[in-house]
This record gives sequence, structure tokens and C-alpha cells, in this order.
Amino acid sequence: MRYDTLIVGGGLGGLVSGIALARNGQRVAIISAGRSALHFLSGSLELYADGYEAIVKLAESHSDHPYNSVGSEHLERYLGATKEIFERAGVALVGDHRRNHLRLSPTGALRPAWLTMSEYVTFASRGEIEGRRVLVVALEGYLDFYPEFVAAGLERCGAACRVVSVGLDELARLRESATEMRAANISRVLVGPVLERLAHKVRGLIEDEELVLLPAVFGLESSEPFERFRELLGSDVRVVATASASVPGVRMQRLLVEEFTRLGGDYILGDRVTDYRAEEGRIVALRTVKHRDEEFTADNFVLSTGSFFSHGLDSTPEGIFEPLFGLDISAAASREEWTARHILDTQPFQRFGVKVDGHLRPTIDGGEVHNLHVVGAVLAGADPVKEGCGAGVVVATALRAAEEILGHRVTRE
Amino acid sequence: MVVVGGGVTGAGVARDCALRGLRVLLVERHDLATGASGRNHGLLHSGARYAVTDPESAAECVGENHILRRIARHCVEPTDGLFITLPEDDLDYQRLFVESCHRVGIEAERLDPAEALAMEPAVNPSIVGAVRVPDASIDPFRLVASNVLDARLHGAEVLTYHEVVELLREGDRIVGVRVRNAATGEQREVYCRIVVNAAGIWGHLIARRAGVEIAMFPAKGSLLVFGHRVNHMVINRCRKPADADILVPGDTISLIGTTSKRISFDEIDLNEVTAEEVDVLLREGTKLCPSLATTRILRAYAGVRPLVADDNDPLGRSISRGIVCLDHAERDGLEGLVTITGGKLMTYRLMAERATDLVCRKLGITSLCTTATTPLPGSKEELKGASRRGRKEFLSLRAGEKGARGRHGDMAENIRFERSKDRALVCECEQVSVAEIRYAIESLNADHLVDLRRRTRLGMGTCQGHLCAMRAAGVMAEMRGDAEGALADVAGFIDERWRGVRPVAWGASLVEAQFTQWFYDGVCGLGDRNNDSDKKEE
Amino acid sequence: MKLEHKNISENNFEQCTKCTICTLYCPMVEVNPLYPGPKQSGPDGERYRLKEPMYYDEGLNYCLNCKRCEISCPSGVRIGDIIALAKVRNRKGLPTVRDMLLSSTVSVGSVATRMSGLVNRSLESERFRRGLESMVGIDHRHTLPRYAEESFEEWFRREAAEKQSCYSRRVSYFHGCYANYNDPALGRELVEVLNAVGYGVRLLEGERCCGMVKIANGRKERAMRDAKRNLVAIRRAVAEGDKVVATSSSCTFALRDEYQYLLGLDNEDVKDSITLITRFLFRQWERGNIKFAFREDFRMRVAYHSACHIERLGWAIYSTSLLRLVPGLELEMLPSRCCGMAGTYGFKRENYDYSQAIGRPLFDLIEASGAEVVATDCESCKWNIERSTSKRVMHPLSILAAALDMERTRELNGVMDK
Repeated sequence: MRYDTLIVGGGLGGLVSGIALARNGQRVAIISAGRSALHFLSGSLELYADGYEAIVKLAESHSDHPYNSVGSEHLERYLGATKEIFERAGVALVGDHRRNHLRLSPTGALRPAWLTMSEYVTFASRGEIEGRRVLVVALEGYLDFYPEFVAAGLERCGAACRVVSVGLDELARLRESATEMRAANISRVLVGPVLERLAHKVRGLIEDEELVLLPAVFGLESSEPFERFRELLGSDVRVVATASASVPGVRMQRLLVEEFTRLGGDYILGDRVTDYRAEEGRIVALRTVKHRDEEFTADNFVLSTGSFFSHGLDSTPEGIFEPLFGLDISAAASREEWTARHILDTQPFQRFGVKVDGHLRPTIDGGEVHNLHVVGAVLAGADPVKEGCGAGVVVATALRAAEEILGHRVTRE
Repeated sequence: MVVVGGGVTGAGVARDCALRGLRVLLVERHDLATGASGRNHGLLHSGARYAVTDPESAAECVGENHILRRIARHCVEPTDGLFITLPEDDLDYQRLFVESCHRVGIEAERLDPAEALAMEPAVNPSIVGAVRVPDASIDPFRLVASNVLDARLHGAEVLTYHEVVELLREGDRIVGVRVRNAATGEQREVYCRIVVNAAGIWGHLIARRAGVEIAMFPAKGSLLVFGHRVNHMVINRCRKPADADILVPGDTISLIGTTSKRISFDEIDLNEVTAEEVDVLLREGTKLCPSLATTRILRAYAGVRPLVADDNDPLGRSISRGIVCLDHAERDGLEGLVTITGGKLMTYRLMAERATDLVCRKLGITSLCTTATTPLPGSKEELKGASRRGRKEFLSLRAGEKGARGRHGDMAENIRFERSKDRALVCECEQVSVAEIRYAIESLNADHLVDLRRRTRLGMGTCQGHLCAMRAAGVMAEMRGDAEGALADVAGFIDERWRGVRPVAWGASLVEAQFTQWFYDGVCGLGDRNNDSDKKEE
Repeated sequence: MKLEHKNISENNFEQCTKCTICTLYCPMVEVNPLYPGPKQSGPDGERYRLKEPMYYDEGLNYCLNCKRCEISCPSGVRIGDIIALAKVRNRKGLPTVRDMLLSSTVSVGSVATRMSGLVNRSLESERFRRGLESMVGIDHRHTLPRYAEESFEEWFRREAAEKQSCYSRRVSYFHGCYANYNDPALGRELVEVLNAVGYGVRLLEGERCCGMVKIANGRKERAMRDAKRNLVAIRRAVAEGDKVVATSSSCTFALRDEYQYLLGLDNEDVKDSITLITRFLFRQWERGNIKFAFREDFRMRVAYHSACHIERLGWAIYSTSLLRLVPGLELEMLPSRCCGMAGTYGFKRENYDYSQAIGRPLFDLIEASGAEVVATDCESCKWNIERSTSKRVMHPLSILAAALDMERTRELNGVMDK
């Protein structure tokens, strides 16, 4: 199969690159080994916990941070364009890269965020929470939402919270399964008359609260169920992230894939690249587990395979490696240096990844690869957890790669 | 009387004493089974391992093996064991081994390699000989919890998370202990006629607090936990006991161990497993069972054996084998203190019997020991599968009920599964339901998430707590109305799991670790609670 | 054992990181809380079943074997295979009459085509179907596929076989039971199209049922017997230089993957020679080995439904790429969802409601689409979508056959008139 550009990795990075390229007339395929980490989205895209100004300062540090590989001359343009890219795919986001806002975590912590899906509760500052009266609504039998923790977190900031639990027969039916009362399955039930009944029940529980919070269990395919719920309730209602897979995250993934295929892209799910063919410093073709004797050929390639979770990086007791091309990486050699003593400490492995030049091009045994661009979490130099920069790095590098391939800008001026 | 130490020995002593009508208080500074009791192979020796080198221990094992199969059915799996001879081993040793087994009354049946392979396909196919013995696996957490539960059912009181900070002394007599509540720091005095020191390696410190010395040598042993049951029989090397030569199937997993290293007393609370130890365990383990090389390793852990110096050796260098029961009145002229130590997990009952006999003798109590014949709670009836009806009934149960039945035996009847939301699984890897969590909190002295792990199998499966920690904390917060406490517990729990994962953090385990940190630190912001929480905002 | 292989597990289920993504894409979970879900049924349950087989959960029997869990898994765990194998291991005693009937596609098909008039009339009669339901448990609400008066094989031998030797190139055709007994027109179209681009067609010697439905109905031994015979036939054809093409995505998937993973047969030597017709044609076209000439007046609005097993093969792009070559064809991609039929699954009384509930969102999407025709590579999806919607369903090859200007195509490929 022949394409202009082949993208390996179907998560946020692959999709943003793919959409940008397909929109500019390229014939693009994304090969994705399973579903992506977008499924665990907190509801927010994070840019940098210390704020945009800190990224600008990062440039002066000449570190190998991916933001530096993107270049500050491009970065602001990409960040400014992101909201619109998502909007066109049907994902409404709020926020501004010049000023982080706060999102509310499943355990009631407040974390800095860049763009948040519009149904989630956000705050401009902690001060905004003080004195708020909040009703936290749990769904009976659902184990991946923690109303007590959410309430405790808000109360630490001076809110007055009340926790209530709501049950519906249709939800109780889900509990016939010992494991499958998950957010996604709840969202499938919460449509039509059931949604109305839930709204009716919740409305009856509101006393003097001005904000109602529920778990993010609305709308696997569109944001319509939540909008309908908000309308029915008639008060300020928002959702809070749940544990395990995220309904809005699944929706975001789905909408981005739909946008990509609408633009003519081929999204090949559940296949894994096994080897490649290179000629004179260029990748020529890829082979996969499922297409075996059929090569995928293209002029340009994008590697957006994610970090360890998505198997963009792999490890054995002897070392860490990039399994697809054997790209040169930045990682500690001895396994005792990969990890830190406590799980919540800064973990060195989070920062490991592929080394690239200023055009996001990697090397293999020191040799340049001219038509391969590396984006997202597989890149070295960023700690998405401790720096709070996961999505920002992915989006910025994905757009940078698309421009490198096209040779012109993908954003509107 | 007061029993110091909530390991298997202390639990056994508390039970025996309670069954004989004594008023008992069991004091444990952490949770039950946090020391060597919960950090071993979980092997119910047939005695074969000691037959050649230590016939006395072997004979103790034979007797206790038979007893525990009866009284602790729900903790024991009659897997049988193989002692295999590899090409590099001396096949002559096998003859000596079999003879020695027979001499102490251990059934030992020589198999040809093909028979052994058919019986246990996981075993190294290059074996040149094998002997079948009645080894079995035993779940130490369940064993301790059942002993404690029975002690409580017979009137004993249990204080976990209470440390004995002082032994109260009047002249040449111990008259009680001062305990400190680990959560609140509060101290109080408890008076009694006799204190039994059953604190394992920490017994050395307890004795010192009473002003007497017991020479002990801490020896660290490390083990690896594999992701699923690779083998169905215990696999041992048929040679002189050495490092990493026993592979035990335990519940859903397999365990290889142990290494052995003398350590100093400063290190007895660390339980760290080094990279070299992991490599040794893997290297030796794959000789027993080659597929271990491609099996996911869930974690590594270490425990400290309380080796005791022989009182008869003036140099204090030789290690006393078997059970050590010291009457400090006789030995040191100090009344009111008994130390029970040495021994093994599987001789705990005998140790408890000896210690209780001594206590009774000293107190002038004449009642006899009944623990060899009285089943532990949960072990009263034959487990699932014995009869056809039982099998059919078990098959029809839901996941959480099966899990509970497998773990708690007939005590599972006390777990309330009526409401569908209580049947929901909290830990999907180990099939631990909301109902079982509630039961453990209400009836089995579980105060923290890590205690729940030892009472159930919460967080002991493939994901090492990633999926279940928050759910369990949510149930706990709801039951107790203490969100902050439960949240602090989550961080403690996943960090405890990480301690074991870290030495083997590569491959799928590193993937899991990244996922865990993303969620707990990234999505939840649990890391913010510990450090720099305000810095990064706005 | 080389150290670098350490912890790259052969025990594939251990690569599961318990992320729960598979559960989001399981069509059965969506409609049936009695199904424990792919994670619990697959890797989670496997650990417990290894500990003690009594931990088997009867709920596993609800699994459709759609393998959508597998393509979703970020760690490549073969969840569907783990479940299918657990089901096979747990199966005790003989299969029911119903399961025998449904999975004996060859025996039933050869009899039914011979008596197709009677069989089809009976199958159309609700009374007959109610009888069938009460006797064996095939749901009466399900219309069963009609049987052809003449099987494809019979037609081929009578009408086509002889002429095939005049083509310079040749492929072998694995027609499967569906094209043979229910839809011989599909087989005829295959012969027509392949002939037009210069390929002669021959049948395998002694083709058997691919075995997919036998595996699904717990008849592993029978499936194994058929599979071994098929492999012998395929090897013979491949040794003589043929590719083996199939029209059914499920047959293709069985021959390539289920043989290897569920039956444990080594088919590596011929795997690359077993292919789907759309894949074969598109690859030949892309390499310039064959040419197509399309009718100028051809117009069709097509919605492509990606069947579960072509999704698992990863090969839908060949069918859609082929369709995209047709001028005048407007192609719309339906979101990839299971139609609920899953081979013989939806026929069964105990599954019928779940099967229809699974398909409902797809049927709604199909009705709402602007397409006149739904294209799919799977015969069981075709039955199910046709009886559940107002749209006509065609195999991509049938669409191609309708769109091609056969005469000019023959010319372009240098084929002399038959």
C-alpha cells in the first residue's frame, strides 16, 4: 500500500499529525497497535505546570526538552491553533495557553491545566472555590468515582460540600456484572428517558447548592447527553474525572479518528509494525504483523508510538530501547537508575525516550534518518507527570512534524 | 498474659492460650504477618528438604504437615512436590535423599524423568531424576489471620499497630508491658502474669528491653513472585539446600526463592532486594522451570529469618536448629517472660504448643493442648470440589464469591453477597469483592489498605494495585467516613506495592509502573499531597 | 535462555496491564451484564483457571468471538483467543443437536441445496421456524439464509472449469460454505472478474468447511479434521504456484489465524498465500499487473461495514481501496461496530435478543446513511444487515463486478474472448 505519509501510532500525536497532513491534501495512513492512552484522559490537556512563561525560559536552558526541539518561534502558533483543530473535530475545549487554569482530580486535588473539555469543572484559582456550596453526586454501585475525596478536596479550599448517592434501576442492572459497571457502560445507559429520570432525581436532591458535580459518565459518542442533562437540571452542573478509562477521553479519540477518516485518512487499528526497509538514510517501507508480505511505502514517516505504556519504548533487564527502528535513545544504562524509591517521586524513566534534532529527526547508530519525524511521548527529555506537560508536548511536536513534512505552515495566521 | 508479635508464632500462641482458657492480649507493632511470617515461600514442607541434613526438623515437619492439612484446610493446597536432579547435580545424592526421607517417615517415591514431566509439565525437561514427596503450599496470611480470628473468638484481645516500648519490671519479674499506639502516639500500661516474646527477629530487641540477651543472627532471604501459576507442584532441587532452589505454586502465582544473606540488625526492617539477588533467583529458577525466563515477574520481596544461637555453644556461633523455647526465669532468673523463637512457618503450631505448655506449667494450669485437632475457623468443612455437589455448587458461584470461598473457606458464609453492589469486584485480578473488603474491615482487624491486602488478596495480582487501590479506599472512606485517612492510605498502599515491583521494573512491570504513576500522580495529583503542592498552580 | 528475552512473555495474557480498554469495545458487554467482559473472561480469568479449572465462569459462553477486544488492546494480548480456548477446554460431552446442525455447514448445505425448494419454503414458514425453535433452539425470529438450487461447485464444474486453462495466470478459490450453498452468484462473479483480468480459477481439491463455526460451537476435533484437510489442499495448490483467494473474511481469518492460535496448527508456510479476493485484486492493480475498465454509467452510494473478522485481519483497507477505484461510487465509512450476528451465534434462541441489541446501533446508522448499498466482506453480516435494515447488502467483489466494463477490462488485460 502506498501513501504520502505513514504514521505509526494512533493516539493524540498520530491523529493531530494525521489530521494536519490529510487536511493539506496528503494521503495518510495511521497504523495503531491498539487503542491509545487518550482513553485515560483526565479531561484536560496539560501544557506545563509552571505555566507558559516557564516554557519560554526553558528555551534558554538549551535542554533536550521537546519544547526546545519544536522551537519557541513555532510553539505559540501551534498552541494558539490547537483549540480550533479540536473544535473542527467536534471537541469543545476551554482554556488558554497563556494562563493555566485548575482542574479537579478524582481525589479532589487541583492541578494546573491548559485546555479542558467543556463539561468538566474548572477553576481560575483556588480562591474561586472558597465559600462555594457544592453538591457531589455519586452513582450507587459505581466504584470508580470517589465523592468523599472530591468533597474533601474542595472543602480544603473552603467550599461547603454535601455528598449524595443516586440509584436508578437501569444502573442497578449494570451491577449484575461484577466488573462491568464502568463509566463507558453507564454512559450507554444514560440516554433518553433514563437521562431524564436521573436529572429529575438529582434536581430533587439540590438544596441550596450552586454547583452540582457528577462523575464523567455522559456521552461516549458525543457531548449531547451531557448538554441535555445540564438543560434538564437547570443548574450549574459539571463533571469530575473518574478512575479507569475516561468516557470523554474515549469520545475525544473517537471524534479525532472520525475527523481523520473523513479527511480521507486510513486508520488501521490493531496492527503492529514489525520491521522496516531503509535506503540511503531514508525509510522506504514498513511491514506489519497483519499485512506481512504487503509493504507499506511512503515518502515520509511519523513515529508517534508513545512511551512504555504504548510500547513506543520497551525494556529488558539489560536496557531500554526503541523497538521499531532501534532509534538512538536517551536513557540510563543500569536498571537501578531507571526508577526512584517511591512511586510518587520523580521517576527517571518518565524522561527517557528518543533523541532528535531540531527537525524532530532521530538517528540510528548515529546515522541520520531524513524522512522520519518523532513526536509525542516517545521523545526524550520531558516528564509528563512531574512537569505536567504531556499533551502540550504531543500536540506541539505533532504539528511541527506535519510542517516539516509539508514544508509549509499548517496553522492559519 | 500478653503475647508480643502478630506473626504466625504469636498468633498461634494467642490461639493456644485462648483455647486453654487464658486471658490473652496480642500486641503487634504493625499489622499481622508483616515480618517473616508474610515474607517466605508459603511452603508446607513434607520435611524432605531437611531429611538429609537435619532429621530432627524433618520429623517435626512430617508431623505438622499432617496436622495442618487437617486443621488449616483452607490455607493449604495439597500440591505435592518434586525433588529434581539436573544433569549438573549428583544423582547419587538422590539415593541418600530417599533413604533419609524414609528413615523419618516421609513418603518419597522415585519417578523416572518422563513420569515427572507428565505430572508437572513445567519442570525442566532435562532432568535426570525426580522424587515425589508430599510437599504442599500454605498461605501464611490466611494462616495468621485464622489463628488470630480463633483466638478472638475465644476471648483474646488483639492490638495491631501497637508497639511494646517497655517491659514493666518489678524486681526480677516482668509484670506487664507499655504499649504505644502507632497512629496516635498514646502510651498505656498493660499488666499481666506472663509475657510471651514471639516477635521473631525483633524478639532480640524485646528481650533486650527486658534486660536479657538472646543471640540472634538475622538472615535475609529474597524471593520473586511470578505473574501466574507456572507450576502445579512444588519443585525443589535434589541436592544440599542452596539458593533459589524451591519453586512453589501459591494461590494464583508462583514463587522462587530464596537467597540467603546474613545482615546486621540495622537492616532488619529494610527488606530490600538487590539487582544481584534478582539475577541469582532468575538464573537458578529457570533451571527448575525454563518457562520462568519468559514469565512476567510481578515483584520481589525479602524476609528475615530469626536464626538463634545455640545456648550450649559458649562462642555463640553455632545456630540452633529447630524450635527454641526459653524460660527466662530458668535461664536468666527473670520471672514472667518466655521467648519462643527459631522454628519455621510450618512448625508454628508446635512452637505455640511448647510455649503454651510452658506458660501453663508456670501458671499452674493443667488444661491440655487441643490445637492439633481443632480446625481453624474457615477449615471446618472440606473445601469445594471434594464432592460432585460441592463442585457443581462452586461452579455456579460468581467470581467474587468463588474468590472469597477459596480464601476464607467456610468463614465465607459470613460474607454478605446479597446486594449486587456488594458482589462488585474491587480487585479484578484477584477477584476480591466489595463484600469481602467489608468483611475484612469488620471482622479481620484490617485498618489500612495494606492490611486488606493480607486479609484478602487485594492488589496482589497482575496490576499490583493499580486498578483496585482507589476502589478499596473509596469503600473504606464510605464505611469509616474518613476521606483524608483513606486517601493517605492510597499513597501508602501503591508505594508499598512499588517497593516490590521496583527491583523487577522492566518489561510489562515497567509499563504498569508508568501507568500507575500517570494515574495516581498525573491524573489524581496524589504526589501533590506529599510535596510542593502549591508551587505549580496558577 | 538468552537474558534479553526475559519477561517478554510467551504467556501472552500477562502482558495485560489491566487498563480496561478492551471492555470499552466489547459489543456483548454493551448489552449483557451477565457476560463478565473480555478482561475478566480473558487474562484475569485465565490466572484463576490456571490455579484451578473450577474458576471457569459460565458467562464466558456469551463471547461472540468478534475479537474486537484484541484489536483494541494496547499490549497485543490475544484476549479473544484466550476466551475461545477456555471455552473449548471447558466444553464437556457432545454438542447439542442445534449446535451440530448449525456448524455442519457442508453436510447441511449439500442436502439443502439438493432440496432447496422445500428447504427454502420451510425456512420461510414461521410455523416451521417455531417448530425448529422448540425442537432445537434456533430462534424463530431469525430468517435463515436461503439455499441455492445448485451449489457453486456444481455450477463451476458444469460451466466454468474447462475454460479456466486458457488463462495464463491462475489462482485457487476457497469458496467456503456460504458461496457454495447460499450465494453461488458470488462465486460466479469471482470467476467472471478474475477471468476478465486474466486469471484462471480452480477449486481446491477437497475443500472442507473452514471450521470457524465448528470451533465456535465447541467441536474442536471436527474443526481440526477439516482444518488439516484444508491445509493439505492449500499446500498442494500453493506448491503448484497458486495463491488461494477467498471471498469470506471469516474463512480467510480462520485459515490464517484461528488455525494457528486456536487449533495450534502450523500454517506459516502457506499463510502468505491465503488471501482475500479484494486484497488480491487491489495489490495486483497497485502493482500494475492487472487493469480495470469501469462502466461510465455506474453510480452507487455505498456505505462500507467493516466486519469483525476483517477488522481483526486488518484488511478492510484493501476492500475500501478497491471500491474507491470505482468512478461513480460514493463511499461512506460506517463506524466499525459488530452487527451482532457473529456467524451462527445470533441464530440461537438464548442469544437472539442480545445479538439484535448489539446490531441495533449499526442498523440505525445504516438507515440514517445516504447509501443505497451496504458493502461488507462477511456473509453473516450480510444476512443480518439485510434482514434488519431496508438496505441491500453486497460483497465488495459483487459491486466491483457490477461496476466493471467486462469487455474492455478483458481487452485491457489482453484476454482473448472466452
